[in-house]
Amino acid sequence: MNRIDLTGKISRHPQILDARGARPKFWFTFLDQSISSKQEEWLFKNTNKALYVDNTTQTFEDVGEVIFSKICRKLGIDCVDYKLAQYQDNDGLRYGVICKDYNPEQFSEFSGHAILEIYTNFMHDNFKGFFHSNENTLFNYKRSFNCIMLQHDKEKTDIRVNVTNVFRLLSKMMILDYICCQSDRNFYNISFLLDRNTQELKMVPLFDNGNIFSWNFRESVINHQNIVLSKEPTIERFKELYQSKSLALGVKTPVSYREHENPTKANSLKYKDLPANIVEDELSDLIIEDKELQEFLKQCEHIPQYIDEAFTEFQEEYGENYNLLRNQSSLISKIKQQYLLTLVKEKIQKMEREDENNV
Amino acid sequence: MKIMFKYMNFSLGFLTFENNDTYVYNSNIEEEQKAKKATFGILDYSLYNSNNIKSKKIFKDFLQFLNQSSREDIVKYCNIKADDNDFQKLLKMANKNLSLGAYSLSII
Repeated sequence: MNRIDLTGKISRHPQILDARGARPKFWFTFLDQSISSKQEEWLFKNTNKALYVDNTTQTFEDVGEVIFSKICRKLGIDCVDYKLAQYQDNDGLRYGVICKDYNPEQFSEFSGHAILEIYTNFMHDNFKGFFHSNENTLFNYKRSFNCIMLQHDKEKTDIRVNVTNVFRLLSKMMILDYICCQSDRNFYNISFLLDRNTQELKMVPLFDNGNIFSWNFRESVINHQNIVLSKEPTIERFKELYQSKSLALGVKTPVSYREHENPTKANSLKYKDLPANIVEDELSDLIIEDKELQEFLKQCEHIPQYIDEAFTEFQEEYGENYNLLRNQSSLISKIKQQYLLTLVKEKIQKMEREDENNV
Repeated sequence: MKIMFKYMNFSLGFLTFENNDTYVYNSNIEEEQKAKKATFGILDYSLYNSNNIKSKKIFKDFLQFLNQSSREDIVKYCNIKADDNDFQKLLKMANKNLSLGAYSLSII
């Protein structure tokens, strides 16, 4: 076990805790400046709910954070770089991950929720109180970005956003989330910074990705998926597993079910029956319209190989071997990438047939 | 006791609890406008221009903090007890200047 041991090596931030998210977390700096300068702030995040190591509640979320950041790096997607760590305080040992602060310049930060409210408020204010839901969909983000640019052009506000670029980044994120079964991309796990030097709104690197491939569930759940899919690696088998465990294998995006009056809380009852085809339809519609996304989806064919490489690196860095996770995630990612590619091809063929008929 | 609601360095307004059953919020309008300007209106905040507004239910903007009041490290750090009411929980969080991203609570 070669986790980075922070015990005795860090100085905890005076405002110790960060209350975001379900997992305990705190800010710190390294005492040894050869590791990291005094100015660089780091976040320690527990990767299970219990504060201290407890075998009954331990999950693989920490492995998920590290592996997902490695996959992203191989795909050229900007993701927070997580490392496995541990920290012993007066009451016990804590396992988790650490990462550098992605906002060292203290730019104003906005959650996906804040961005989605722009369009909801715009509709309310300009169309006689019309209510447009702020659901966490790609198209709602695009509408909000367009509102920002409308204000930029008409009211000469300084803030601007490169709608095409940011929308494409969001789309790539959601394709990857779909393939990797990232089940927690709610609108508080998407964030934007307002660069005060350029007044441009930018997406922050992907964070909070520990829930991929249902690694936030018990080992027995993952083992069952691995056994079923090893025997029959098909989308039909995957969808059967999804029906019984959509919370584990689903993608909360692009449709996020949150309580309207209390959006920081997930409405798990509604979410329970989230149909997968809503996500698949939205993603395939997007991909057929954008060559770069088509290229990205093809590049995602290599994800099983990237997973394999990531686990090899992981083993070299931390001395921990997770063959079960490696097999299960390779199987799932292959099935989902191929299925999404098939959907896209079918839609393109259908469009071509329609074009021919029109001619 | 009053709880100040802040976004970065902007003190947006304060919350009190009357007769142990009514939440009251008052905006710091000047600061709200500064924050609004600095963020081009994108601020996730629904209490603009509040003048002694009252509610038996806690205002939406504070829910993000209340939802976190059962997180184990926060319970321990803020000394939150199981029988604390919602305002007491918020007070204890404010007493420790708890932050939630760019938002934070403090006591005035």
